[in-house]
Amino acid sequence: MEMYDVVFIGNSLQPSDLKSICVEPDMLLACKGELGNFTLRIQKEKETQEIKTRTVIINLLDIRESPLAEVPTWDELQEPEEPVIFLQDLKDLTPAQINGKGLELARDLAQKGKSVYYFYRSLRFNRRNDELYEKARRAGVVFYQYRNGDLEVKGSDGLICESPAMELELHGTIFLAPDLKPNMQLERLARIFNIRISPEGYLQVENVHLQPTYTGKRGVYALEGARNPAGRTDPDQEEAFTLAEIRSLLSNINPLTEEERVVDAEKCAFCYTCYRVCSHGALEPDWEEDAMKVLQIACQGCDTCLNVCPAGAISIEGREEKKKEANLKVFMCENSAATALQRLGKNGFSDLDIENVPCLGSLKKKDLLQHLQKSEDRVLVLGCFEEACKHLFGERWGDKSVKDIQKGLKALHFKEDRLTLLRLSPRMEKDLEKILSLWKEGNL
Amino acid sequence: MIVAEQKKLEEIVEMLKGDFKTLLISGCGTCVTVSLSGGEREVEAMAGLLNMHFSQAGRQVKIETNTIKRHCDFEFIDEAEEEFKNADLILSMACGVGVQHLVERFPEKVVVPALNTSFYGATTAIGEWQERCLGCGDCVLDKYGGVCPVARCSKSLLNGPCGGSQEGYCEVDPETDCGWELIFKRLQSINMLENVMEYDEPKNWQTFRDGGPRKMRNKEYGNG
Repeated sequence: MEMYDVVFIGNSLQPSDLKSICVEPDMLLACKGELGNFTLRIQKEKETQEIKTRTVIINLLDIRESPLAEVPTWDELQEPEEPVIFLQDLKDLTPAQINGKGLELARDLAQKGKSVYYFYRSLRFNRRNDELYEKARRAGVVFYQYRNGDLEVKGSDGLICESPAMELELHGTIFLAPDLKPNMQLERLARIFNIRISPEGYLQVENVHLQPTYTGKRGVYALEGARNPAGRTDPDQEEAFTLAEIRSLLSNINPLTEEERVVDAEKCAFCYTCYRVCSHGALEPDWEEDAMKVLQIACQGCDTCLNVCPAGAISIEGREEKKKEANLKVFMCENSAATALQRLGKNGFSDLDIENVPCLGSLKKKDLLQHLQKSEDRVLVLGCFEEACKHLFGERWGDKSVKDIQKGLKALHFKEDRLTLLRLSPRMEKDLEKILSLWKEGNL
Repeated sequence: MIVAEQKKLEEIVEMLKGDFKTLLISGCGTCVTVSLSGGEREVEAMAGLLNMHFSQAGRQVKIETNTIKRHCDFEFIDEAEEEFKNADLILSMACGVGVQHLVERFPEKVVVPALNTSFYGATTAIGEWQERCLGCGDCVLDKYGGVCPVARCSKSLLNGPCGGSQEGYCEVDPETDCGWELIFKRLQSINMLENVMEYDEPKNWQTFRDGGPRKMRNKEYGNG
């Protein structure tokens, strides 16, 4: 079977150097496999066929309500003395590209002598918008930053702004930034690709590690309306980045971790918990074994599946369990606290049993409890902030493990300070030093 | 599947007050593993917590653990016979069926439950389940478009809804869908709404609990 470099779901970017094909989202039935070797099942006029591809780009248009495209032309602006009011971020933050269109139009109108107001909560800057903003300002556009709740739109042409700083009532032509709604296909596509979906219904959840177009699943990218509008910047740059990323990936498709995560088919209850929890879409049913299997290229090594598996069926091949070394145990996520400790340079904490973990999600309740058995034992868990978790929701599962044990400890009348979880960024080395010193003395 | 949840630790600890030296915590690898309450993961965590508890109380208790594939079939229990026999007390993390099956297999042992067996349900989100079937023994799903009035209506009405249906929700719990609203909408969507015009005779509850504990024999496989 032919192997494509990229399959576009929705709109093609038509890269001339990559072998690509475009598939309508509603034709797609299923996806199996991982980066370098996806198999897509598609339905074409009642016939089902399979195509193979190394990567996937989901590129869909937004659903726009009250779009800016319906803005009247200069000639249609009947009363020249009335001001023109641009209003964005009314419900949600307006994405950069629409922000850019608004700035462009505001600048044009101001240059033609119109009185223009521009209301915003947050300007979404990128290279182009920076420049447009400067030009619009110079052309005489009055910018006003409002807060949520300050504004009230009256009818089709009135606007009242009440804030501690000022009270203002305006009448004129109002240009409202469109509300964007997630494409109706996204929920289905998220299920097919086993990608986590944001609360707003987009394929890209809010997380620093997903910028600009990553979905969390290796080799699957989200563009345009597939992504959360608030996170979007310049579409051209995002497209160029994605294609460059794919070109570089294709020449070097390798697992991210050396160790292999394996599922014991006899223990696996086929409950799909790992499949549902994995932020990287790295688990797949293996119908020959009647069990789940870990996709080794897709796996990003957070080990959250090892923790959440209710049957204890997933393990790392060849790795032995670490034995207890000291009464004071510190688990540090290697993406935050462990980095901060390195930045600290010195390590005056040799009396602590410090263990680096790939993600809070990997922390098994059993392992945490192993370090709490003696009355003088205490455990400190240091991980990342929610939106900075490299494994997206990994920290959430570690948090749940910790909370469940804390609940148990409380029920059994143990002191609450036996198990503590704190969050840090890799740059908080000074805080880390303070935390470790205080915790060691039992004074946190 | 059978959905269960763990009892409060306080309640479990209360059951473990007696004098014993060896405690076996036994999980089940089927339904309660899938419903995330009594599989190996929870068994190991329970062992960790109880071990701390016994140490704190100054009691010498040896805790053993196992998780067998199914507590409701003797063959799986027999595979771990020695482990069960060596225990002075067994804390079962299987469903209520599993607890009793262990008692029947090892009449000399005391077995106590760590779980509350809740219902037969389907997974609706990670870690969330909803009841879909009561096991009434006389399935009527054909008449109601595949939505069960016995399980989904709080009052198990066959001729509903009652006057307590409010904007699609049940008066018993405002977060529970009115089963009859679901039935009505479902029948409407498959053009079978005329089904609700038929009066359904009172159900024969003898196939449910009213006939006492039930037995079932597959004529093909069973004896006689």
